[in-house]
Amino acid sequence: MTTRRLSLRIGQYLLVLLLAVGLNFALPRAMPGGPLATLGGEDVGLLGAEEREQLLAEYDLDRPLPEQFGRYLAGVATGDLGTSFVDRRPVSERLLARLPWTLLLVGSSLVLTTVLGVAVGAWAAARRERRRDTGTIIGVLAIDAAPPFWVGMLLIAGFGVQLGWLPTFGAVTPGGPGGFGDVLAHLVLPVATLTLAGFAQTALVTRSSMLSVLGSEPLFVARAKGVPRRRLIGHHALRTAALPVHTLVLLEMGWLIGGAVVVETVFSYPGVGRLLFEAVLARDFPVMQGAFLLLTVTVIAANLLADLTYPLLDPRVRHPVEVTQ
Amino acid sequence: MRPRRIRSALPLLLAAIALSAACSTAADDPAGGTDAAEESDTDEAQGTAEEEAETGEADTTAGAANAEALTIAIGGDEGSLTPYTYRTGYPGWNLLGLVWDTLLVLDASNEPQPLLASDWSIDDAGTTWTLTLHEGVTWHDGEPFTADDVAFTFDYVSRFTQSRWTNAVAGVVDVTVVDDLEVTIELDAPDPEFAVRPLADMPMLPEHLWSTIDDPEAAGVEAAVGTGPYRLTEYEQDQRYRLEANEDYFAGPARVEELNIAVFADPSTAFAALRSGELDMSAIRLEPQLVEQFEAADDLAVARGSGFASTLLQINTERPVLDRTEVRQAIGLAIDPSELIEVVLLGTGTAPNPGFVHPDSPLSDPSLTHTFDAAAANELLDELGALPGEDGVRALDGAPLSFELLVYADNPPRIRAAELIQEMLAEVGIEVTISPQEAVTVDDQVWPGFDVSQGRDFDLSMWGWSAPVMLDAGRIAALGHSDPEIGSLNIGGLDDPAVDAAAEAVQAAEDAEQRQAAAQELQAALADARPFVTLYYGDEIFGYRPGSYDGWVFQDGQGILSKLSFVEVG
Amino acid sequence: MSSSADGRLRRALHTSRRSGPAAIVGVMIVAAFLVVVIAGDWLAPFTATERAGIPYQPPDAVHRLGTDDVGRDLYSQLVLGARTSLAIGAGVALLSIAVGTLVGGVAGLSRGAVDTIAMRTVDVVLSLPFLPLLVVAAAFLGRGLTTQILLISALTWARPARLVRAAVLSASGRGHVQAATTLGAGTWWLLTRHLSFSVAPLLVPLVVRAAMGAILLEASLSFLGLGDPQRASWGTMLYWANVRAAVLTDAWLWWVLPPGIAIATLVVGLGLIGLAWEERLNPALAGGRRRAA
Repeated sequence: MTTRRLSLRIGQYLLVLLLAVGLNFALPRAMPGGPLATLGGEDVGLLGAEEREQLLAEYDLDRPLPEQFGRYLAGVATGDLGTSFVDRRPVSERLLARLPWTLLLVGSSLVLTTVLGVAVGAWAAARRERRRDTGTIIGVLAIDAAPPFWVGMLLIAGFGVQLGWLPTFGAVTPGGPGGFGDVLAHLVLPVATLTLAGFAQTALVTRSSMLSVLGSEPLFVARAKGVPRRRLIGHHALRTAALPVHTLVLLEMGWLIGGAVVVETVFSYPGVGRLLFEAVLARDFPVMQGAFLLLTVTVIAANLLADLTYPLLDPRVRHPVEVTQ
Repeated sequence: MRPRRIRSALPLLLAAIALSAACSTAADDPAGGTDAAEESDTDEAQGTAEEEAETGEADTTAGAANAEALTIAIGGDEGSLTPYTYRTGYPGWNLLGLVWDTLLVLDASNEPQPLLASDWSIDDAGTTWTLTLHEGVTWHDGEPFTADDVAFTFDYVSRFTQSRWTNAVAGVVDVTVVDDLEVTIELDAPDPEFAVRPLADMPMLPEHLWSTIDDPEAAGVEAAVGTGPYRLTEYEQDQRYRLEANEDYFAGPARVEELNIAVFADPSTAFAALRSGELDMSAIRLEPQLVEQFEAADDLAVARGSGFASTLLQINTERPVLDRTEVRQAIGLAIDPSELIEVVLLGTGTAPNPGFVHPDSPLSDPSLTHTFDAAAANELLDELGALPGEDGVRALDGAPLSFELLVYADNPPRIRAAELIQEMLAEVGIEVTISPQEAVTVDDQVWPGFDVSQGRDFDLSMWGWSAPVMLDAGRIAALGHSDPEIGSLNIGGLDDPAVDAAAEAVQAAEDAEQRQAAAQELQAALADARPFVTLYYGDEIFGYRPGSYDGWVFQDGQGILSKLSFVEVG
Repeated sequence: MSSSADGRLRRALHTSRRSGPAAIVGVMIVAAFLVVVIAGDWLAPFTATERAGIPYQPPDAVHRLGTDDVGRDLYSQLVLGARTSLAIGAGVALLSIAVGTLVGGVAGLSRGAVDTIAMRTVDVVLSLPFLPLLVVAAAFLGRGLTTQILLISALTWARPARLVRAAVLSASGRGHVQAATTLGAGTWWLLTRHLSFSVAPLLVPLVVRAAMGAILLEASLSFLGLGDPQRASWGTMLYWANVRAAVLTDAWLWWVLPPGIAIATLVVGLGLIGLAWEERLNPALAGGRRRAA
């Protein structure tokens, strides 16, 4: 990719970042209901007027909006994301505590989703060649159509409560010895939920692109030449299908991180999405902004990665294309 | 504090390994199921409920009278468990009480008893309190607890505002250290409730550590050094706490050696974990519809008693039409609290006192009861001249009796109650539109800036006051006085001379008897002026596993999560 | 069905023999839900807010799915809830596709600065973390149905815009379009007269996908507590089921399962239609051998 194109691309993403962050900054401050309840704690009603003013001033909340935004941006540039209204600790501390769990949850789900999705999609495409695969399609669609939180609720009721096989909350057993096995055990249900929610997209995309390839001219020729079916599917079709799937996977990552909010809630899993949600409810602006920034950066990073690696997979493409889906 | 680190980038093992790991780390099953079922029968609604330590179970590791470790659920993070960083009155304050001690402690009936102060006396004028401190008390880091710490604490709290205590010590003129174990406190006026607040409410701070802390609201876990029965050994933000018993606790070591407090984002998940055995107790209040199931289960039990947290329908007395006492009275008459308790709480609640105070509180006026009479409400409104229009909605002087009812969107039982109230008021020709909104948005309309002098912008709102308001006559006076200085909780903007007079009498009371009498007057006045309609007091219901531990003590109006359940105090 | 009737039906639906059954199933499902929406008041024995029974009743003859925590009939809520889901699905689909088509079409025809600005905007919108932004916006901007439709549409118009633009770009190379342009036809004329019939078929899968996404998003938002707790919708039913701990009682069978199944079924129906349509557009998807275009 040419340097010029790259820098244009990066410039564009920075613009996106600025806009997203700006939106996230302005919305809560413009809306009614400030963070006074959060700042003052439960008995905030007993504070005098002066003390309340003091609290607000501590956090620059009495300054005009543009000034607040300017200070915030300056802080971000130097790596200071501010301090939480709730516990006066640095926001970055909070984010860093949650980030590994999110990465673990999303990473595992992404791997499983891709593997399962490609496998099912390829199998469906292969079947399609011979005979109808309506049943498979309906099955895959049905799993995709089930709301993720509903699936989570059912898994908890079934595996957690009724059968007692798997832990139903948190990342580790509180008070337990912890360790790798414990972490894994706690991952099973949330990852299962996220995977079930996500693999269908990958499967369908794999199936579509493989079928497109299978029905195309070069494949027709290859088949006429007598190339064995297995090689046709495994080598030619799958390789070509890798392109849109690769794109989808990288874009999914961005979505999963934010979209895991619901799953994190149901399983009390300590992720960044849930942190954002809690910060919204508590009107903890700094944490909310920090979490949102992190999520946006991740999505952008994923997009950028997709753009940059696309040429690697498709040797015909010399310049990065806008990744369309 | 050692946050857990993940070994990242490890290859994923097969699910079979995960499953077997899960089986091995699942909570122990409680032993002796049948015995637990008998012993776990809980108290009925009112009164003290002491769950005595159980005997008679020949069993293995987790005996019901003691336990090595318990896992307890709470609904949100509580900071570093220091007096300036905990978040909620419940359960934050309760957890704080496990790590920190106060000079006095409220026992199960909410009477002040000795704790760090083994004895106390008040002079005849009522303005000087002399406290004798317990011998041999040490802080978690080994330093001795002395009167210097007491003096330091009073000074610190007046310098660094903490909304719960700074006001309570506003009347303290001087704190004198007589010797290591004796201290005198001088007040500017007699305060019959000084023993309750702040003596039984405000934790003692260690001077040797806290004298260097300038920003208490950012205090970390290293500042969590108290004298309490537990020490805080681990904290993972938003996830869990580990409390280990303080071997040198002056009242004897705790009956449970280790407490693991787990933070749950979703109450349902907590209840499921309690069912599956991953939890031993949930400090998150149990949903009423699970009570039957839990009581029927062999290995589960329910600790239950009346709660002091109140739910009410708050009225903005400054709004046209609502400024008429008769209209407010009619609203009260149209509401049937027993139906609310039946449907919304499934019976797990106490009938309301129109004067606000819970019948079990020592301050209450037992003669005041809620009257439900829709016919009388209709009559009252008819007499007033608020006649129904064509659509059935009444109008007074051209203004329709049509109001917006605010309610916290994240409080489902209250939303349900609001829906029922809407139906009940429709029966008497009052139209109500329910508006569920974010809690902070509602607060901003009902109690902008948490300052009643800033006015208000609402018609009706569902509201609730937490348990401590019920125990403090001063707070009750604050509910209705028209002067914002005194009536800091008067969110309805009430301006009623009878209420003002009664509130002032409460404040001027010099001893407990006077206070009692004045409080009764105040309740009657509030019931007449009707700035709010008390709806019910929900029971405090907690699910637990008696096989893991059954030494829980139910504190009136509050619950089982307190030091009373673990050590012999109060 | 006899083979001739079968063939006629398939031709009517423009489906091939292979993709036929899927499309038919999809259409039938969606049609069934439309019937439920229209005939809701007759099918539901009670209204969604009527407290017709004791709370937490298991299913019986009167209350076919039992009652919820305040005694409202769950079956009625299920039936009437279809309206909300379909309203959201339709509302978002139409709005986001309309906006997307407009933006994409204008961009594709205009080229130059207009095109660049439009596409950069599309990029920005696509780069935003979707659900988190929705959560923040819903929390601050309100819970009404209209607000939610507007919010979700504001985030979902971007993808269709890009696709429409691509289609317009390829279609505008055709002869009749070039001729019209030479004769001075304006953008609007081109869009509505010349390009619509080549771009329109593309819109069906987009509409379908937008509807599917919107239905699931509304359910998620309601479940998180960001919806209107008084609204009769499947997402709200699940919200109440969760906060009233129905998942832990036997009630999960008649309170938690049905709304989830309803959502899944509707979304599957839409998905089948979308899929079948895509096969029609891209015949390679329909079967192994290459077909004549």
